[in-house]
Amino acid sequence: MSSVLNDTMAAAEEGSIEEAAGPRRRRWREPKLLTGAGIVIVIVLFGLLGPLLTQDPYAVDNIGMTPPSGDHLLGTTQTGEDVLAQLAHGTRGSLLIGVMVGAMTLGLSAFFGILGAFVGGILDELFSLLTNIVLVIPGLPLMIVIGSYVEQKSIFLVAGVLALTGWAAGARVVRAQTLSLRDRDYVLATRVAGESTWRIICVEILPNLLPVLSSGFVFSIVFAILGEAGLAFIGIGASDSLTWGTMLADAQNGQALLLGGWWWFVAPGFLIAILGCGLALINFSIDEIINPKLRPARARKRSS
Amino acid sequence: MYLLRKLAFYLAAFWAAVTLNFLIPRLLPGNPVDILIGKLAQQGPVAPGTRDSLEMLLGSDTSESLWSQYVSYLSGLAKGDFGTSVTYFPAPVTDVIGQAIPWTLLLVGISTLLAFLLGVGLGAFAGWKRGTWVDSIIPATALLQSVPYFWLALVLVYFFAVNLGWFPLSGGYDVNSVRPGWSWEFIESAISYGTLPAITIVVSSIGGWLLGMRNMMVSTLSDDYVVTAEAKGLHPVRVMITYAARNAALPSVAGFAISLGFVVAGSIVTEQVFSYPGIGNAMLLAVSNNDYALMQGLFLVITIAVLVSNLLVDLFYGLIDPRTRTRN
Amino acid sequence: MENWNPLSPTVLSGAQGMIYEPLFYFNNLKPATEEPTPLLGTSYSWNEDGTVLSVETRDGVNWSDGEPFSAEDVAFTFNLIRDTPELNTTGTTPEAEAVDDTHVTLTFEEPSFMDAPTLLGGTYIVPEHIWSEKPDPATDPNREPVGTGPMVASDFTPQSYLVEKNPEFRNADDVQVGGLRYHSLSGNQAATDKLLAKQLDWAGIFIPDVDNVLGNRDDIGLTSFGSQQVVLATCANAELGCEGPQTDPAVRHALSAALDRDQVNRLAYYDRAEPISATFALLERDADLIAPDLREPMPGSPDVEAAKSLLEEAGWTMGSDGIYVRDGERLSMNVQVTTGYTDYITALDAMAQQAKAAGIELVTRQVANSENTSSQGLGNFELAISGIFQGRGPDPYYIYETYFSSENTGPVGESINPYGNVVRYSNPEVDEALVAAASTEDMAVRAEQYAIIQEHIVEDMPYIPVVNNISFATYSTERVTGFPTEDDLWASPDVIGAPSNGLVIQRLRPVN
Repeated sequence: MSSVLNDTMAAAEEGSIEEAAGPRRRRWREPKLLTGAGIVIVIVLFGLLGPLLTQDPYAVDNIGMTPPSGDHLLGTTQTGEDVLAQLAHGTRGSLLIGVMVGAMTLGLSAFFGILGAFVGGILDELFSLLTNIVLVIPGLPLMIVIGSYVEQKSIFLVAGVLALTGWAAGARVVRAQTLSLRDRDYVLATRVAGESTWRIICVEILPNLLPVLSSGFVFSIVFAILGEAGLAFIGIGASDSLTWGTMLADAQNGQALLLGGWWWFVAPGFLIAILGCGLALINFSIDEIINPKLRPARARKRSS
Repeated sequence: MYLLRKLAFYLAAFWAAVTLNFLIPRLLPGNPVDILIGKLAQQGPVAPGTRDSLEMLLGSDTSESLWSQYVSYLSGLAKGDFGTSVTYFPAPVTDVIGQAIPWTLLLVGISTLLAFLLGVGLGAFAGWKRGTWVDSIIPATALLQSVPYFWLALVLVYFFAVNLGWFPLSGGYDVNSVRPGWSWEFIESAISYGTLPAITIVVSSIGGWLLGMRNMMVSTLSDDYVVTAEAKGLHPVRVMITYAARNAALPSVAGFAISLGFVVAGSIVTEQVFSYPGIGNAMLLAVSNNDYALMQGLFLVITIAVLVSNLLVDLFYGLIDPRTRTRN
Repeated sequence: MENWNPLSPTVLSGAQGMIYEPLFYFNNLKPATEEPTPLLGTSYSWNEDGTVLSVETRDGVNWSDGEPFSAEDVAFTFNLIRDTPELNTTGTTPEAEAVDDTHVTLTFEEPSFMDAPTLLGGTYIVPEHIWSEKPDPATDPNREPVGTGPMVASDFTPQSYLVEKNPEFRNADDVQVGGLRYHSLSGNQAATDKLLAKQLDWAGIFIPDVDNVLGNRDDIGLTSFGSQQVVLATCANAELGCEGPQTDPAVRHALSAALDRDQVNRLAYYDRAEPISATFALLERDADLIAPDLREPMPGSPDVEAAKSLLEEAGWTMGSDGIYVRDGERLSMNVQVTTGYTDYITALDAMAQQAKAAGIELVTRQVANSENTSSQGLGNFELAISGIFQGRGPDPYYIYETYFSSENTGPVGESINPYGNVVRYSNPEVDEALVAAASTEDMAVRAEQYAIIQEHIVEDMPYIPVVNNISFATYSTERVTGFPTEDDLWASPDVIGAPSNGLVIQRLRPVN
């Protein structure tokens, strides 16, 4: 979990790079973006279609903890549930959490970041104060405390808690970027021309924030999926649905490794890592769009 | 003015944390008496009078109004009185926290430092060598960064501690042969018990530093002054270290200072996996026992640590970068 | 944290039994007719109406500081508890008086035969010469414990602590184990790993599939003992405010008939659980105390047809989705379970599938432990999977009193003991039989009263019996011998069981 927190901070710091998005040239032929997108698409398809094709993930059977075989391609859990079916449903659950948190984080950070920075004055002060307070209050302990408060932890609640504790870093980045955009000549020109605030935000500012916002969106998906897994592991994850996190927690509670049931424990962890890697690669490509200096094309050959 | 504004902000943040800290545990369902009765019930029947007697013992009187509880909570805090832990009754919360903090500080502190140094070093190198084969570490670190921490920890424990026996299984030190203290035997034992947890923290958190530093390095390398230094024919290593890396590392250093604040939060999950006797362990125990006082104390200590390190970073920036004073 | 106070509910494990002793040990693994093992007491007797208990205490016992122990200490301890409301957890602590150095009488306000195991077996005697000086005995951490037991406290750190042989102990020659180190470990995984690596010599850990895990490890012994009867508690009493289909006894009986207990046993308990009696008396131990027509255990295999006809007789009709309906109400119930209690969760997975075959829908709600206890205490639940714990003494009375007496319940919305009568069962005839059983020492009379209780609770079935889960202790066989075995459970092998732990330590013999 510490890595998640570190990243949050690192992301906040990167916001100080006040480089405009500039002319955006999409590099579809980039291997990083292609690999990342490929991984993500395959996993999303698995989450979407898998549950339709696999067995009932909750069907118990007297054959517990059987290794992968023809009937159960990824073996069974301790109660004879099909691991592949659980994985398919778990993928759906984890992706749902990721996307929900991503969307909520996006909304919150855009709202507080853009509006505050654009309007300025006392509103900006208040929004910054709120953002900074949320940013410094330690997230995981807060999640534990809120998580143990709510009786039935639905997948939506877990997503809500993750979004509530995770939006501030993004808001700070967005605010910094908006501040630099606000004073650009073309924005000032439209203001002078008497355009409405909403119109300026939507037409002039938002498009230029797209790379920052999408990078934040992708980052919060990874943050949410890892966060949910961590919460599930300490016993306060979503208890009404299957996710990779709840699968890992079940496998751990069932002492899967000790009893030799590696297939049960390894599969969800592997998928989390692969998806995270895919998203990180996409994010890397977005970073290169935001910050043209990062583009490999600009790297000059060196003698050393 | 800058200083005052910053102080005002931190005071506001502190108040918000303190109030949140007060409210959340009180909204939790159940109460510590029920949890205690549950433990007693496993050993024998519990008489109807037990609840009254335990409520009296623990002083968990819920009939007081929320406001008067808030006032006495604040005045208690001002006196450094965090109340009594129910889990470790009758030990005061300050004792429980006091004995857990050094473990977390050392384990997570040292591994955060290691991850930072290694990550920034490797990141600087990777940035310098951009466009070469070294770029292939990007997907590798991205993968490492995305592995769930506890998953990695459990797999490492399974292979290196359970199967190969290279590391101790769990705990903070060898309780059978040494006693905590300033003896070489104890320190040696604590180091050997801390190695595997530290390795897992380093492995799973190094990626963030590495990628951040690499990106900063790549940006810096195309800055004019670095290009000039290179054009002047300075030795490449000197350019890399003195010109590029030094400047590129600034944001990482700030990030490091802030993450030091989070050290106190501990790697809650780490401590759970390794049965490590630190703050995170205490936090989980407090939650499962509805130990409000302990939960609040821990949350407060964690928040203060984060606030203080943020304040220090802000002050530091205010000192070295005059722009921050006017801009923000 | 350091707390050696044997009267405190958060006392360190081992302070009770190893350092401090009660008067007797009541072994609830043996039938009620078995005499208790004398510890600081040697014999006891009741007066006719059960209001005066005379105890003879052991002569020639010394406290670990060398001071002699006497009946005065016993009287002091009982009176201390009686006069300190924070310590008086039973609320029925008697007034005590030392007649001479070896005799003490306890005087009660009402017949109290049934309190003997709690008072004589669960009151740890403290030395008057030290405890009369303590200003606040309820919260005193008692850092330098002085007891009569086989061990004394030696070294304490928050991660582990040590108790060592008490040279003043009356049977010091029997104690051949030099000391015992207690480890504080978080989580079953860490503890199991240590046990398997031979770093623990005695442990009470829940290990899933333990037979398989220990497999061919003949250096680790295992003793099954005791029982925790797994039940589905139902909020059963509509008169006290319970709501939901489970308030209909036909639904409870139908659900019970639909259960495949053998499958639950296999999947959740790895075939280690034993059949359960609908009377919640233990089939072997309490054989003489179960009504003759109720001695059959609950069947292992389901009877779906019986379940369906029970429901149909009660007016339920099969709905289009395969779940029964009555008056527009679907036969669907929430079952709550504490997050992370894997055996319960697994059992529920299996039971939900089994119930579905009989047209009953069970919806599992995983909740935090605190929420689970709180909602059971308040009665805000439909079904909950939980355990019926054994009482202080080997007599089903304690189960009936705790789980079925209307003294231990209250209307929905009033917070009661969450480990008491959470099903809101209230039956005057059961209450009456409980009073009658409690006012005699005659086991035959008690058995008659129990038969009345059993007929009622089997018919009403507020707790649906699932299986009898057997706990186990694990220990090293390489370093010591002498742990109680299943053939002769002369004491509980539970490492945290007190005062049995003090008896076990006296019988352990180091190997070599």
